[in-house]
Amino acid sequence: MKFGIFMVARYYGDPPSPGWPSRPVFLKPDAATQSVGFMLDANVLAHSVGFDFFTFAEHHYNFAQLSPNPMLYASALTQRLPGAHIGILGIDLPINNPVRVAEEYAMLDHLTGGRSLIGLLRGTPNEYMTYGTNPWESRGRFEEGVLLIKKALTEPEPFGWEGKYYRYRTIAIWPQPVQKPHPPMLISCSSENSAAFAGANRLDVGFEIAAGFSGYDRIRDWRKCYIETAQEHGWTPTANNILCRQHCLVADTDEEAAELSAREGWPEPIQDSIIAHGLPSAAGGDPYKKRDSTAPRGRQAEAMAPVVNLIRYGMSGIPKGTPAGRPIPHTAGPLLSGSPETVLRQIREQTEFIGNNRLELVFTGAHLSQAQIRRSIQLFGEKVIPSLRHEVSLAASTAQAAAAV
Amino acid sequence: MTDQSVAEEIGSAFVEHFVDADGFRVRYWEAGSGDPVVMFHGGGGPKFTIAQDILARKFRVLTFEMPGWGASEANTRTQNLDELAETMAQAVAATGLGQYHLLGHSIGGATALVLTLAHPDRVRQLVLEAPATFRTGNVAHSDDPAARARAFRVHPERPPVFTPPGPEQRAKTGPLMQRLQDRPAYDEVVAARLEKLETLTLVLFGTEDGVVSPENGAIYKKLIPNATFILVYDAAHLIQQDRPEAFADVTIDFLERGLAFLIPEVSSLINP
Repeated sequence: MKFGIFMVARYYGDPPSPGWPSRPVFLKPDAATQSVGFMLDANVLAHSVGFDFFTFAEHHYNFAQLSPNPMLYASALTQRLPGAHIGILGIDLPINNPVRVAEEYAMLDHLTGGRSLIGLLRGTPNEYMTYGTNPWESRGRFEEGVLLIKKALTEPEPFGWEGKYYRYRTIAIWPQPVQKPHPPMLISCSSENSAAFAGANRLDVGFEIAAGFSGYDRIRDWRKCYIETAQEHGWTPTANNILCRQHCLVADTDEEAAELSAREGWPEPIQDSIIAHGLPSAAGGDPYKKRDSTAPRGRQAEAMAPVVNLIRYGMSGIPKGTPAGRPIPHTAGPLLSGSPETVLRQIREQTEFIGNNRLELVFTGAHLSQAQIRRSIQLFGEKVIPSLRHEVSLAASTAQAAAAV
Repeated sequence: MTDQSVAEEIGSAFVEHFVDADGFRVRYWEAGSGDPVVMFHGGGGPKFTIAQDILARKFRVLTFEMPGWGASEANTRTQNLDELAETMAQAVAATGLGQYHLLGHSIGGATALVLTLAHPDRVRQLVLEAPATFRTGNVAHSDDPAARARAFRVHPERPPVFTPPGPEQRAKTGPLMQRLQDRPAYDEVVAARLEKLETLTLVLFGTEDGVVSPENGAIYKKLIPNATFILVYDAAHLIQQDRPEAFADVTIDFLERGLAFLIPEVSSLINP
């Protein structure tokens, strides 16, 4: 099994007032620089305790993720960790220029010496307000963008693209990547549509088990769809094609982990952290304290909630004009939390269910301090990784992955 | 307008004509006015398309039925592409055209290319839609009707609805197609000639083409000095039929502006 760390670049200065976008007036440059430095240092720590790959994601206009261009962090890390496997999970493709995305991934592949990983996602709802992208076109732009990127990374001669959403008369990226035909390419699998698309186009898939994304109850169906569709298209995914992103809190004992979780409000629902909805109003509250469900929402947050829901509708393919009523439900899944032994057991159970050979961990979130995060990373690397490495790998077991369908 | 009425309207502006050329009675249809665009069909025979209708609003379009296809008699005389290209060159000349844009699909594209090599002075600009000159990387044709249809059309339901040639048509055109395609998948002789072709050429391949692999597009780009190779997304072998507006858009832009079509001229100004 391969272990990755998805190190969120959170802002550790005084937080802004609630709501998205985060108001820039609250930014203290020194605090932002320290926050970015901590994030990069945490990756170096993770590397020293045995993590195999290092990833970043793209988010905009938000104190919770200082990462509008994750390529810069990935590139910086290549110089601090030469020879490391580094990737972006992922670029928000519908809001970006696919040819530019292909160019940057190819450059990253050279900076990593052919050890990069491509992740292409559709983004969280607020991203569609970032550059003004039509959310009803999200899936169409995404699917076309993925295929365009594949061609840009592999076509041997200059070519043009006459798409539905993208038109380029000339594409000839230099450099093309080191890895041939291209670096491993992964998309998020959070629906049957995405599972089928991944299977049909020889893509890896990532399942995110976190508050606000996917629960176990749907992952089994999506994985089945992915494998069956792939087989219809002439290939069979193995556990190496499947990544699971999990939120993880490791402490010396289960009791300490439980106490930390309760005190610091971990885990923080992902959608809330990114969109900053539902945070307590600024009146008398420190948003870094555990969320108080009785505190009134900020007026801006209340007004924005139906807008965000409308974007979710668009991204999900629900037709325009459908009243933006009830929020689309998310099912939270079990997280990794406890002593190293407990987390080890949780990983075994989860991996057996999901059949993944890549596990990407998120140690940040909520109000965890930098020291707590470093400790969690250290314990995982020193106590959990070595145990799992000695166990029978689920990696190449095609039969196991197929049998579990 | 329903799909049915759209289907009935397709090609309604085209008027049928005949010419005698090279011992054949050759049928063609004409619509529109302006610069002439001559079109050669693919192995399925002539078929009116929405793309042709759009082209006919901008150009004088002449779409030919090559001898042996459609309603014409079985063609037992033509032995190879050179002969077919010469027959079609004479047929076009018989309409009175001296210079024209030439557009060919699949085997019609291969024919158009050979015609252009033989008569470069006649062809102003060349558009090749999934041409069958080079056929490297092709997978074997499937016997499953659904898979076979997908090789030709991503969207078989769009007008004109996809109907594969029936047994009578296949029996008539099969031997002719075999003779025309009795050459290597990478034809070295043609490849050598292409390096000297100066005609502005646009090569289009559908990303989902299951008949002639889109990877062949790069070959034309590599060999023809003034070629542009464009992939048409979400289209299979019959690009005009899968994505008529996209096909017409890029073809018209190329024919009207030549290589300047590489520059977008549509304004991105939202408001002054």
